[in-house]
Formats: sequence, structure tokens, C-alpha cells
Amino acid sequence: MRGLLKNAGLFLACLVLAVFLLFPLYYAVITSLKSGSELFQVSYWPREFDLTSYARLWTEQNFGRNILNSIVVATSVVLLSLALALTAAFALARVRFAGRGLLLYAILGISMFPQIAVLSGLFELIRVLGLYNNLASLVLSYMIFTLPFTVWVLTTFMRDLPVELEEAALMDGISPLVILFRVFLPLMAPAMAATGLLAFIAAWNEFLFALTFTLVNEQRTVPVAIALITGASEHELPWGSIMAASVVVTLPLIALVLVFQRRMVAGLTAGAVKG
Amino acid sequence: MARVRLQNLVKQFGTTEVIRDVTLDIADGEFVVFVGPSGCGKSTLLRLIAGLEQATSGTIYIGDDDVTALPPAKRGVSMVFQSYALYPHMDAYRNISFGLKLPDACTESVDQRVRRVAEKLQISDLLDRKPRELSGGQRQRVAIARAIVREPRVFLFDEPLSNLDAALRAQTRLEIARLHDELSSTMIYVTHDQQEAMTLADRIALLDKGRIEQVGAPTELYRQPASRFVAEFLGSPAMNILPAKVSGGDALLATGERIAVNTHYSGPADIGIRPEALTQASQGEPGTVQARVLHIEDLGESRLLHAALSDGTVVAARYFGAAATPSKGERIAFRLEPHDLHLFGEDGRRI
Repeated sequence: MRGLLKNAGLFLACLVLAVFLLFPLYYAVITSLKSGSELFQVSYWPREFDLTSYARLWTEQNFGRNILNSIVVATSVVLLSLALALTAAFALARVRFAGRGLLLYAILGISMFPQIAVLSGLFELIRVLGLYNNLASLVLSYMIFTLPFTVWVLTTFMRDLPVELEEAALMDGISPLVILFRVFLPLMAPAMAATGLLAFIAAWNEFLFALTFTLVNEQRTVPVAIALITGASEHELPWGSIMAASVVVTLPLIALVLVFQRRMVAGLTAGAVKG
Repeated sequence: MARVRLQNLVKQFGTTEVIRDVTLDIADGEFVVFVGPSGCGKSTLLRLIAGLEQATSGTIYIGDDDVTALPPAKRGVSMVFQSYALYPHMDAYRNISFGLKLPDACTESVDQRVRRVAEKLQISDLLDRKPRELSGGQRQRVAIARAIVREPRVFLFDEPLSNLDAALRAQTRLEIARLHDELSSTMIYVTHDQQEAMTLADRIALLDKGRIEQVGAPTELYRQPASRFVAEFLGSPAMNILPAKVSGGDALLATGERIAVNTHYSGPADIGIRPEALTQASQGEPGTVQARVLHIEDLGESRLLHAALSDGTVVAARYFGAAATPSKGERIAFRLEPHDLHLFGEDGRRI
């Protein structure tokens, strides 16, 4: 009897959590499938299946371009962050040098600046570099928040790899770069997948920098594009399009998480690699 | 194959001196074991030879080359690590061949070399397995194969057997000995296990606090220990030590009993005697020591007897074969033959 109660309680808790987490997405999906005045009626069950909102994303504005921008930016951010973080982690975890601890905390400190605090300075920087209204400005600015945590996670992960592995490779006369890419990289794959995915999500969802550093719709990423979707008149809020767009941009993330799920869990939980 | 010479080697970590002025000459083809208690610097010494640590001062020669400043790969040494240090994501074949660069003059291909070495270590049918699919003993063989395949001038072993269970350890020990006979190359082996040291070594270098306490053949260290430290470190159970005052070929033990010793030394000394050298005598015989049996351990081929002398000092004695063993609580006498005794002065050195 107690076991039954316990199970029921657990089930109930899970249910509450799931509803809490999934309701916004669910509501976005059913709203995106409504049309016309239906949109402004609150209903919790899907009553029609109308794809015009989705079609309108492509006919009324070039939403495909926005998605492509987001993919380009997020992918570049992930690749650059991982490449820089991996090499940095190798140095921070395996090379003894003065000021190593200080450097690590400085990197951590950078991630604590509020975005809004660095915004105006960053804007000047991007103007000087001639990157305004260019996707490269986003790649550059996103690395401010992706690099600190990728460096930290990879550094701690690399610290846990047995030193003997590196020493064995040293005895075999293998150069540091080959050790990094042929010995450590394969062992770091779970950690790389986990941090890479988190960096991708962060870059994909970023709004403030994307809004500030771009000017025209062709350079916008999806969060900004969605926010700036306009209706036929300024008095109309195009809920259908906004919801359809929200659903569309959520799907790639869900797909990515599902694909990398197992590796991610391994990356977040696994510490030492047993030989 | 090459001789290895260490000259006045010193290694400091910060202000702590881990290796203090070590000088040692290892002959070509010799099997030398570094042994000592933990923290004695034996692993550091091996890592200095490997090039994984840089010497603070002193010189290391391998063959005729001064290798003190060379990186590990240029020294012509290879090492077997305690944790095997196999690359987890590569199969055994890749583990052995990874980093293998054969000189141009070599007629053998990498593949031939790997397969020949695998054959020698009986791991030919394990070559496509990842380390996690191998047992401890098999991993150990792969690690040894990886060291052998480069045909180095010197092999270094860092406690290679300590991760194996007892039965496998004895077997692998034998195989390492066989391998040494077969390759007749210089091998330096670090262990804290005195049994491994005694059985494998041509010569043992016993280290304590960063210094070489004594170097010599295993039997030499066992029979003629240069110091009380060496005497107590080798042998299980450890040598019995009885404090005494020596004068005129006579030793007055702390128990008040007198025994004969072969020395002209006079003064305070520690008298050492191995458990197997303690023989039982009949009660009241002159020159014997009285004891009461505390505990008996039957090891099958021998029995270990722990007994307390009249001043409370506990000694161990080993009884072999059919020798009648006294029972617990019984009062007995031990004879201490002068030629079985080791005398150590107040500084711990042999007299």
C-alpha cells in the first residue's frame, strides 16, 4: 500500500513537472495551427489543422534566410569555441605555468558580466572592426559567453584524464598536437558533445546582441526575426506566424538533443576514463 | 642495448630533495630493481631516467650518450606504466603501433613488427580488442608489447604488477623474467614488493629517503645487509632486532641474557637474526634466550612462531618441515649461532 502511494506520488510529481515544462510548447503548437479569429479564442485542445501560418513565414518574409543565419552563426560559434577551448584546456589542465589559476578565474569572471553591461563597448568594437550588420559580429560576440564555460568544462574534464596516457605518448615520441587530437580528443568526445550542444543552444537563442548588431532582416537570426514579425497593419499582432516560427525554431534543438542525448549524459556524468 | 650510468643525480621538487646524490652504474643487459618503502624516490629515479622528470643536477648516460637534457623519445627507452596507460579508444593493434616509427634501414614493415611482438607475448588473437575488452593480465601484455615493439635500448617498468591479483602476479613475474632472458636487454624495474625484487633482479638497488642504501645481488643484500634498514626491509617476516651491549666477543641482551658474537667491537649495538636462523634449544643451555610462545601461524610449507622474550620483545621464528613445533603459551629457548647474527652500530651501519 505504501509502495503504491509512493509510486502515485512520484507519478503525480512527474506529471506536474511535465505539464509545467511542456505546456508553453504545446500551446505554441496548437496556436500555430489555428487561423483567423480562432487565434484569439483561448482553447486547450486542437480543433483545426491549418498550416497557413507556417506558409506565411516563407511567403511574407524570408524566414528560411533567418534560419540559415542562425544555423551559420550557431555552428560557427560551436566550432570556434570548441577548437579554442580544447587547445586552451590542454594548456590550462596539463601545462604548469605561472598565473594559471588566475587565468582560469579571469575566464570565469568574464562570463559574469551582464550582457547589457558590455553591449555598448562591444558595439564600438564591432563598428571599428567593420562587422556591423554582419553575421561575423554575432559569432564574435557570442564567444564571450560560450568560451568561458566550454574552457572550464573541458579543462576540468581533461584534468581527470590519466597523466600516464600523456606520458606514454611522450615516451613514444608523439608531439603535443598529435597527443591532443589523436589521444585526448577521442576521449573528450562526450564532454565536447555536451558543451558543444550547450553552446549551440545559447547561440541559437541569443537575442540582445543579435538585435543590436544587425540592421536588415537578411542578417537577422531567428529570435530577432520572430520578435520583429509584423502583421498586415500595426494594430494586428500576428500570433499565428509568431507561434509557427517559434515551433519551427524549437524543432532543430529538440532534434539535436535527441541525437546527442546519450553522449551528453556521458559527458556530464563521466569523470575519469578508466584504462 | 646499453649500459646506464647515473652520476650524482639530484632531484628537488621546490625545496624538498627527493633524490639525493644518486650514483649508479647499470651494466648492459642487466636487470636492476629499484625497491624501497613508499616515498623513497624510486619512481622519481625511474622517471628521471625516462625523461619524464628533469634532473636538478647530475648526469644520466645511456650507452655513451649524455641524455640528461634529451626528451623521453630521444633517449631510446620505453616504459611500462603501473596503470598500463593504454589508449582506451584504440584497439590493441593500434595501441602497439601508434607512434611506432621504424628507421628507413629497417627491412620489416610496421605490421610485421607488431605481429611478431604480439606473437611473442601471445596476444595475436587479441589485437582487434579495445583495452576495456581485455582482462588485467592481457592489458599488461599489450602494454609490454607496446614497450617492446620499439626495440629500445633500455626498458623501464614502473610497478607493472601491482594492479594484478596474486596468482596472475606470480605468473607475469615469471614471464617478465623469461622476457629478459630472451631479449637480454637492460631493464630497470621499480617495485615496493621485496619478493618481486628478490626474484627478478640481477641486482637490487634499495632506496631510502632519496639515497641508495645498498646495491648488490639479492642474496648479498639478504645475507650481508649494509645497514639495519636493509636488513629489516628485505625478508618476511622482518629480521628480528635485539638491542644489546657488546664487549669482548660477548653480547649482553636487554633481557639480561648473554650470547656469543664474532666481533672485536665493543659498545651498544643492535643484533639482528633472521626468523629462519632462530633454532630451538633445550632449556637452560648456556648462550640461549628464553621465550614464551604467543602465536603460531601455519603457512603449510613452514610455520611461523611469534614469541616474547623476557623483556617483552616479540621475535618471529620459522620452523620447516617435520620439526616439532611448540604449542601456544609454552616456554622455550632459542639458540643464536654467532655466524647467523648481524650486528648494527648506533648509526644503523653494519659492524
